Amino acid sequence: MTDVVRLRGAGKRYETAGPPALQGVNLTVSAGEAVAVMGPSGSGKSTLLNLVAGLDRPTEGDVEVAGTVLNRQSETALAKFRCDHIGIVFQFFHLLDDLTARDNVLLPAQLAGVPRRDALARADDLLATLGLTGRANAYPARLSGGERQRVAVARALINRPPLLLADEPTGAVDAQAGTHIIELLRDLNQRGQTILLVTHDPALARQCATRIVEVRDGRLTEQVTT
Amino acid sequence: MRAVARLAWGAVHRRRLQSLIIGAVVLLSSGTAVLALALLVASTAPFDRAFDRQHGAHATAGFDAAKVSSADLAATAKRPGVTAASGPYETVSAQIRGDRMPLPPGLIVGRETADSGIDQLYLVDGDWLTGPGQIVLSEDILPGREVAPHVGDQVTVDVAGGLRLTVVGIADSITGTGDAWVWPSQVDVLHASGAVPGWQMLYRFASADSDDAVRASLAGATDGLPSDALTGASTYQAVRLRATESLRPMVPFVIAFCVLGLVISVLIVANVVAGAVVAGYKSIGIQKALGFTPAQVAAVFVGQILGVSIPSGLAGVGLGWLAAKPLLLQTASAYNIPGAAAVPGWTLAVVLLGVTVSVGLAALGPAVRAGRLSAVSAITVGRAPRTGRGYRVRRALAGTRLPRAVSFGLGTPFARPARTAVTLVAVLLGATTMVFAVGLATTLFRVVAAFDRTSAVPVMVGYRPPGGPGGSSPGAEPDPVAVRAAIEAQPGTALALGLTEVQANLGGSTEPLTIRAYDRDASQAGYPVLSGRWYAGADEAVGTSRMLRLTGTKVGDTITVGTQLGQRRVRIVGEVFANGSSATIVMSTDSLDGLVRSVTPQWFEVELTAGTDIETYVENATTPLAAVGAVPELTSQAQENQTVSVMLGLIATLTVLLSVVAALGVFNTVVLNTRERVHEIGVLKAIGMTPRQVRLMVVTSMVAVGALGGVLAVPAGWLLHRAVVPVMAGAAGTELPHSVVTVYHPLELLALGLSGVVLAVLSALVPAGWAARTHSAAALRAE
Repeated sequence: MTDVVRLRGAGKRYETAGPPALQGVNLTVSAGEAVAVMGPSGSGKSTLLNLVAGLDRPTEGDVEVAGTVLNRQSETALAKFRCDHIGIVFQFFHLLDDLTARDNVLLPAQLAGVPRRDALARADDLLATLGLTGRANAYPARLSGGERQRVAVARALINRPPLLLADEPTGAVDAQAGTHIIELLRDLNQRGQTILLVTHDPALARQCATRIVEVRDGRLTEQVTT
Repeated sequence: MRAVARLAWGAVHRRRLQSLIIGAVVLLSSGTAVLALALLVASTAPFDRAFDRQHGAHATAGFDAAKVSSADLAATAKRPGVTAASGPYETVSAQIRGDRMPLPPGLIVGRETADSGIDQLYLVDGDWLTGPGQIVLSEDILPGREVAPHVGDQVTVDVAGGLRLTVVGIADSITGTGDAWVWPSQVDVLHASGAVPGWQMLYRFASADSDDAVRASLAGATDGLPSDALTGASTYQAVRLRATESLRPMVPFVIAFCVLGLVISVLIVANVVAGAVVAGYKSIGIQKALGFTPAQVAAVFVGQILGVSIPSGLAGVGLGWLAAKPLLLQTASAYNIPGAAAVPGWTLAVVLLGVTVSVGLAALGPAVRAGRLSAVSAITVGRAPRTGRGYRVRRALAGTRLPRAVSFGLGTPFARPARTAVTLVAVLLGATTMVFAVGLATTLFRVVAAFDRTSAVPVMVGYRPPGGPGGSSPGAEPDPVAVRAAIEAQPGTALALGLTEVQANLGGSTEPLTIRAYDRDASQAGYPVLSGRWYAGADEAVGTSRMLRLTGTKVGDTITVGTQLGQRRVRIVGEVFANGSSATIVMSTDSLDGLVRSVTPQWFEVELTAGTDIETYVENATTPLAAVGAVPELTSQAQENQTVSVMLGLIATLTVLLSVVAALGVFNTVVLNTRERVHEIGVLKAIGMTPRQVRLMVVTSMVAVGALGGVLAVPAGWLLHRAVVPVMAGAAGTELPHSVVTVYHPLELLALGLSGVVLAVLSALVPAGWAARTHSAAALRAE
């Protein structure tokens, strides 16, 4: 199986003299895997996710995603790489308030220069799959938490990225919506989507992930196969 | 109160960029305001002070001694409307020759005291006359210090017999009532054989607010005298115009720039404070929760603005004072008034107070709004921008085929309509400044071209000094006939106009008169005719605008022109636009009969045939003309107008300053927008927007504002130009030809319309770069 994510001795230090946020992390995620990164608050989970997403750069080691070593890329190359290869689902959705659900979903495709007709078809298809057809023209403020997160998932998937990153995807929704999100992620993984999930919720990790890794004080301490 | 001050001061430090922007705009606008006010005051105040101090004459009237008696003139002092009068004084026109050089022909007045009721002469050097054999010279006719006669020197008065007199003093007459004064019993001067004697009366009137009022009062005073007894008159308004000519034309456009600058500054301050209120919602909520009253919350915002604007205003006032000082020194030296070079203290105080109050008021609106916010809603809203505005437009833009970064950018202004409106006005005023400045500069260039007549007579031919390099043989004078023949033989010559310039005097006036006399038809020599017609024969002349204003002459009047050889009556048949600081008339050499001994062209103006290359012409003509002791040169290189050069420099400086101020306005808006949208930018970058796309998005957010501002600026600048230029012309004492006022070419206006976009884009580039470098992870954590 091809490795989609490969971290070799990756670390991050925000202040030269301060303690490392992440250090010496070796992690591989193969295509089709769903890996959950767990750990308490402040352990370095989000830093790990940011490194894999190319939103931040490691101060030591290498981060390789889909065969590209991210820490050697320019900001522009990283942005293009994210657009084509990575979809991100955030805990607080990060939808743009001024755009409708459909326009939010369309955004990465438009940035990637996908022809409008194709992008629209794909967006509508995703919205239908996620049960949001009737809410396509609604603005985020009019959507429930669960609907917003499903829009965020649709947005993350519009460019068919090889890797889906999810940062506490159920952290800001109610229990019922959380269940739907879990089912959605599991379904996506079963259909071959590689997922790297960051959470402190063991139930979410158990239900969604094929493998769980734990981060504590910036170090990867344990790998469990579910 | 201490808490309010501490918070305000803390905000000044925390919002360093905004503080810097406010500081810069207040500094620049207050500096411009001081310069404008100082110019306004200095352009007239020193003259008015000197006029009051010397009890100047509202009108100086000259009379023909053969047609009116001393008693008749003395009686005019009691006419209705005359509040005071001096004279009659005997006068004669004559030339005075110093040992080092001759002085221009002038009016010599017989006068016993310097300290008469009107026109109290100010003695610059030496003493007043004590008897015959002495002369006091006017400071106005003296040439440079090196060659001017000094107190104690002897001068020759060029009357029959050539009389030698001793210079006992140098005096200044604020209204230029005489060029020299002699003892009233100096009859060998005042009644010299062959000279034309006259009388002079000095008047002050109850009604003297304008030139027309003075002339009407004078007409009332001389009513009943023989109709041709009055040979001429000058008014203090004309003298005032002449005295203030170097500064007054600058006043209208400097004030226009100043007003534009102040308005832009006020708008920027309002935008900064409104932005600070939006960004500080959470802080406002906390302040109110802690017990701050609405007034105290508002005071924090106003305080932070005043904390920056007062020191910046002080610095700007200082800079404006420094800039105005050289201009004022130039004026002050002309009037011998101690302290006239100082910018009046009240001017500085008014600017400082005005700027402070203006920015304070600009800050007050949004500050009061902040004070009225409820604590809960302020904390709840936090720093997130209010939603619900411009959805339709933004959605429509999203549906277009434009790149997403562009459609995002174009939609941004609709999210904050008030801020966008203020920014639009800042861009509009900045671009208006550019349109106005370009028009003004074009007008001035055309004034210079019209003055120089470069298109009509592009080449001038003068004489080389005998024996000089390439000149005629040592000792030989160049022969004008041979020079003309050489010019006419040159391929490309259409017409060679021989020009003789004569210094003369105008009957009844001390205003020096220059006569330009042409020996061929000069109707095509490039003098724009503003009214009337070109002269058609002997005893007809056209007067320059300046001549008509300085002497109160009107088209159709007949004037008396005199030299030491005689006088001649000349009818003014037209008004022309021409250069020269003195009153000038243009006529045929036929009209010089009796005024000069012989007519010899002093130089030639050359009209070229169509299609002749001017520089090639000059190059080809140099050798053949050198052979006859003449040298050709381009007309444009032969002339220089210092006032226009100073004005062009000032316009360029003020335009740059105002463009910087307007650019700071756009810059501030983009900074506010990007800071408010930092989270959104973080999201966009996280989902794949490249730094270049972010930069494009931010820059295009100002493109529409810039385009609209530029489009509106074209008519605004055009109207401002149309309004200011005639005022400048009036201040300079001239009418303007149509070509000087109508200066904009349609393509030029189109290009100027784009200046708003250029201004907006350039101002947005730096904050766009900052936005492009936004760290996504940090921006997302800002949630």
